[in-house]
Amino acid sequence: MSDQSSGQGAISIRNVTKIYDPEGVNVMAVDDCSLEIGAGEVCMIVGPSGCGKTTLLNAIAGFHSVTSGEIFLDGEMLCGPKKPLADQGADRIVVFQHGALFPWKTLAENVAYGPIVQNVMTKNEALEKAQDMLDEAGIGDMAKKFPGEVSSGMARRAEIVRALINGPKVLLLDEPYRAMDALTKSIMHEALLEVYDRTKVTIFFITHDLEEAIFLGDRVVVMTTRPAKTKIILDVKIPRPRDYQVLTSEEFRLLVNEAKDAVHEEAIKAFEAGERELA
Amino acid sequence: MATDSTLVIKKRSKFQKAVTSLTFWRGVAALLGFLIIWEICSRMELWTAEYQAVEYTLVSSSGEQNSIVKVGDSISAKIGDYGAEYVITKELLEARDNNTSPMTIRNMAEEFTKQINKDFKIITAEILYKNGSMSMVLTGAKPSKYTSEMSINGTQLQGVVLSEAFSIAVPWIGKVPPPTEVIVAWKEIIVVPGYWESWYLSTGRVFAGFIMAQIIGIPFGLLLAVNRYFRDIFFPPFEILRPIPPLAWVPASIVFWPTTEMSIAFVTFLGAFFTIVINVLGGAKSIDVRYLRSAQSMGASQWDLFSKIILPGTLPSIFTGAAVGMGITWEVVLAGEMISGGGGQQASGGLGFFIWSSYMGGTVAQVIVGMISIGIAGYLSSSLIRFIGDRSMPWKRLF
Repeated sequence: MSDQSSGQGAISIRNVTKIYDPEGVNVMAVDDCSLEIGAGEVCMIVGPSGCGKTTLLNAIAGFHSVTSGEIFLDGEMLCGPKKPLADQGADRIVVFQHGALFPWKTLAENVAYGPIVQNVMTKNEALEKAQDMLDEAGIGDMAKKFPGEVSSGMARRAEIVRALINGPKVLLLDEPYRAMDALTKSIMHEALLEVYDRTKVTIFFITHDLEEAIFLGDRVVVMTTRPAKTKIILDVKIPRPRDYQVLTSEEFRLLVNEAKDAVHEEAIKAFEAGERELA
Repeated sequence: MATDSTLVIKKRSKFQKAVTSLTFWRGVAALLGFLIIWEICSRMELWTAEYQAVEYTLVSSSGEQNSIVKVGDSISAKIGDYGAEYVITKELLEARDNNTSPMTIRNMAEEFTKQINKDFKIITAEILYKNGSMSMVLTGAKPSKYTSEMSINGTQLQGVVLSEAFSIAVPWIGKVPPPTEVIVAWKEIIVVPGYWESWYLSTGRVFAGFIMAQIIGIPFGLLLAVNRYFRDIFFPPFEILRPIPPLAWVPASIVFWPTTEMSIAFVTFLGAFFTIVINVLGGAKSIDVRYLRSAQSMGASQWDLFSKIILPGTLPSIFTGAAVGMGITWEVVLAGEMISGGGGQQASGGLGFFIWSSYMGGTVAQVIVGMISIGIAGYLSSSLIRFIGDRSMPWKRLF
């Protein structure tokens, strides 16, 4: 697998504020948000629509700048007062909401893309490795198909493989399983947990789904409505590896209830504000 | 590709699929129906025309014209464009003098009818003989566009209308030659080398302009899309030039370029160029930002972004632009050929000039042959583009 070693991928978000300024109307998306994510931790971010979760992810990934505050990765500053926009890099790879496999490449070519453009492997080596990794993920048969030919579940799995081949320190997942049916979702969860148990990569996972958050996460961070701040942080002490028995346990149920209360309150606030979702 | 799937579905060829689909037959039925209605509309006047009989006296009983008509005199009769010559024979005059041998007379009239109706079997000629005078009656459908006339040795005879004609014509559309006439005209023209030369010339001009437009337009559009400075400098003039119709360039380019051939090619190029650039620009700009972001986060360089994301992502738009551009190119070439008179002395024809000269020559059926030829040429060109598009975008072929 990748040269992923545990003890890497700790993210430190310190007093980050992001103000969007479209047409002179200041919109504060994130307000003085601080969060420590340990190396190899699965950190789930939950919050109402448009609360600024994705803004935070974009800041870590280097897609958007921060207005103030700092973000560190393993003690190195990604962005801060002097450099508001983090460099994009293969150590932090994003898996998007609707999937971003390149439709003009087969799954294997998609997976091989990173190593090829980084010049760490020749095209053939990369394609071989891609095939191996797709086999490992159980979708090796689909390697020669185009994303348009496979189900969304398969595509999302291939996308995670595409991220992992680069040996990232952090996986940034932005509601990757949204709009999937419950059955597909449960299969995707198992696949992700399997990957995590194998690689222990740090996962920064945004979701709306509380059960998903608690089932997958080590910690669940509930955000307030916009501007986003951490409202509460729930520790999930359910031992790993986890399977679907967990869903019926008492501990799981209590955690879901606790999270639900916190999120519900914020959801009402967000609903009453009635504002359109902000990217 | 998809063949190593475990699902085995017997593949049918495109042709098999086409001829077994309802859509195909619906299309065929619609086309046939259209042709039949067209045929009916243009033939309506002829079909509904009542027969009109006009009597021309060749030799009167009073004897005045006796001295004029003699053996060897030529009679010509005409209805519309159709007519025949007839020479007075000894037998004919004898029959008049003797009041006998009606057989001979009838035979001659029949022969005359045959000659007249070589292509158009609606006229009969009849020689009447009564009281020492001899006359010929031309009977036929006489739509408004046909007139009948008869002359002896070039002297026009006064006709007496025996029965009036009447017809129903479909306005406007009735003036268009019917499909059958067009097919006949086509059969005649298809053996003429000049017709195929027109095809060759127009196709050559279209592809010359079109390929130049692709070669210059695609990089130009991509540069506009990816480079802000380039866009700031070149987009405003481009947008000012773009609304100028290609045909408005014709006079200027005739002045500017040394040969007519070059000015036609230039105008053709312009026709496709603007469409191609706009499509490439739009396509490149509308590539989902997620593709760019994920490529960048995987460490893609600027060149990788361009060659592996922006270029393939723009391909569908490039082919859309090509298909639209191809259509415009045909339009422009044809118009250019008409205006410039088909490239002057050194170059001949082209399909546009073919139409124009057919129109000037008054053969409307040939004009329609030219129009349909262009339709076919355009269809073949777009099919070629679709074919290439399918080949170069395998991921699109799946849907």
